[in-house]
Amino acid sequence: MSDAMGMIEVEGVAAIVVGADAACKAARVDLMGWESIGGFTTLFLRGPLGDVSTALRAGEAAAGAVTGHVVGACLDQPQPECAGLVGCPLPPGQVEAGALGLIETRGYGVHVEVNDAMVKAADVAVANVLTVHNRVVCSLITGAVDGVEEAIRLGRERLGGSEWFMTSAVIPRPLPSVLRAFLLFRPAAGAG
Amino acid sequence: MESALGILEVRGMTALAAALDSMHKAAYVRLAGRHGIGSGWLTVIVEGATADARAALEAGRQAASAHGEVITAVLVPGADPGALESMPHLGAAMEPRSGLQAIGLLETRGVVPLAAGADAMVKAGDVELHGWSFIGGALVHAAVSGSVGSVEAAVQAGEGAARRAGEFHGALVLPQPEAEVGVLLPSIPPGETPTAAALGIVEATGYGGSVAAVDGMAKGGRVDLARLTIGSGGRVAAVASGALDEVGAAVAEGARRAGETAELEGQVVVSGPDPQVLACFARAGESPGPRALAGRALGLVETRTTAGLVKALDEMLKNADVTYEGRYKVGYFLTACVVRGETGAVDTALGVARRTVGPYGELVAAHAIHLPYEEMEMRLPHG
Repeated sequence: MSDAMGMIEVEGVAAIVVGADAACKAARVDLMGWESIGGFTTLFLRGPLGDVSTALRAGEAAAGAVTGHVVGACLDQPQPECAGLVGCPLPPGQVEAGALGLIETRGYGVHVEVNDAMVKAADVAVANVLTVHNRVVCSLITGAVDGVEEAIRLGRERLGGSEWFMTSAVIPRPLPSVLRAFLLFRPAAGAG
Repeated sequence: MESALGILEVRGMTALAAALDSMHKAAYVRLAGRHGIGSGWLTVIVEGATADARAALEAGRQAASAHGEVITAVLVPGADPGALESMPHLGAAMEPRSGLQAIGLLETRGVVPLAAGADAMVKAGDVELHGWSFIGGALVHAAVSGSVGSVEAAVQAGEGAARRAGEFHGALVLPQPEAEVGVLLPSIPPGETPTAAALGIVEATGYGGSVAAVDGMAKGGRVDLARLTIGSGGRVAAVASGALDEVGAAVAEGARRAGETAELEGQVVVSGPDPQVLACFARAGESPGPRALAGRALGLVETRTTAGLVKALDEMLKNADVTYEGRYKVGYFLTACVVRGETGAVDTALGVARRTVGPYGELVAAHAIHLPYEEMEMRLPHG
């Protein structure tokens, strides 16, 4: 059985979270981790060739619903060195979360304001805030599905009209590997 | 009394420093967080009683507008600090520095005008150079401190020199800075300072362009090389020091090769650089340690997408007798990897990469150095 590696590359982070969840639910593949090069973010999957192809199709479609720019690539029997380019490999540990909400804009200040408004309005927590340079900031909100939906709706009301708004999404039942990959990764504080 | 957060996001370090100073002068507030997200966008968050936070925010917004661009200025009353504890602005160093003298800031696009400006600053006045730093979008800044008169003279001279050498972005003098502004000051990296009659810098787009530049500098003149220096906005600076004519020859050759490989962003030769400027820009930096295949031909592939780079690396390793040595991310949609092998194998690998990347993104550089010099090898940061 041949092992293959799949990649989905998008602009921002939210689409890659959505793509990872959809891809790993669609076929028997493992999430290897992700990589950011300052604007574009890439998801890495591994598994049998057929499964990787199926997962890529599902992941690309799901990511495409959230962002405009999506590039997929599949490597059949990749050289082992290729795994060295996965900048954020899946960290060990476990995360408990119900639903996952994502809201992505350019700019950091608005996330402080909107995250504060969301935790005041609904029973949700700010689980992580990913900043991947080129001004892209994505807040990851967790809680029960109805709370997360309410919070993201509020976030869209506040930010949706802004020229800096990028995208938002709710994953009602995210995979544990997806939560590990994106909730346990901490961007360098104060960087810039 | 209800407390509030004042959130101010601006573009540029001079705008941020002016704003932060004004915020703390205007009202009783505490610096509660700061964060940068690239492209020069910087946020500060202050906390205080609602009326104080509002006054501070307004003062900061006005000061920032006078020095640059305001992205967001918003007041959040009754914020629950615990609810935001996972946000990265809270982890930044925020220790105020008391007893600061007057501070001068010079901000440019690119390291070339910054180094020229920094040298002019320390030569114009009796000031201390605090180092330089980058905040994305090619914006870099250097800070000096001293008496008000010296700092004013220094910043004026620095602005003039920066304009002559490249693109000037902003300058600022804070005669009586608040202690909180101290958290924004860059520092000089540790290490030994070379003594040299001249300092030369070639700045290029990406890792490929800058490796080509440092290769050209090593071969063009008898100079000491510093570790490649990331600027921002995808730029990297190659820095050399030595005798004036040697540095001049090295910079000319480095610029020529950088221009052939990628985009040349700027070049400068500073004659008789101040020792503080050499400490700031020309320190050798940490060596990556010995490389197994140092001296063998080096192939460098740089792309604007990770998918394109991984695909190229896989095909190179499958189709040419080369070894993967490491990778380097400049940021701003640039990522590179390095392979080694015999000259023919490296050329074959680069041909494979040129044919492979296309559908997955833009190829920025596919560059071979057939005979890398040892002094250059030690200054390449990929790993």
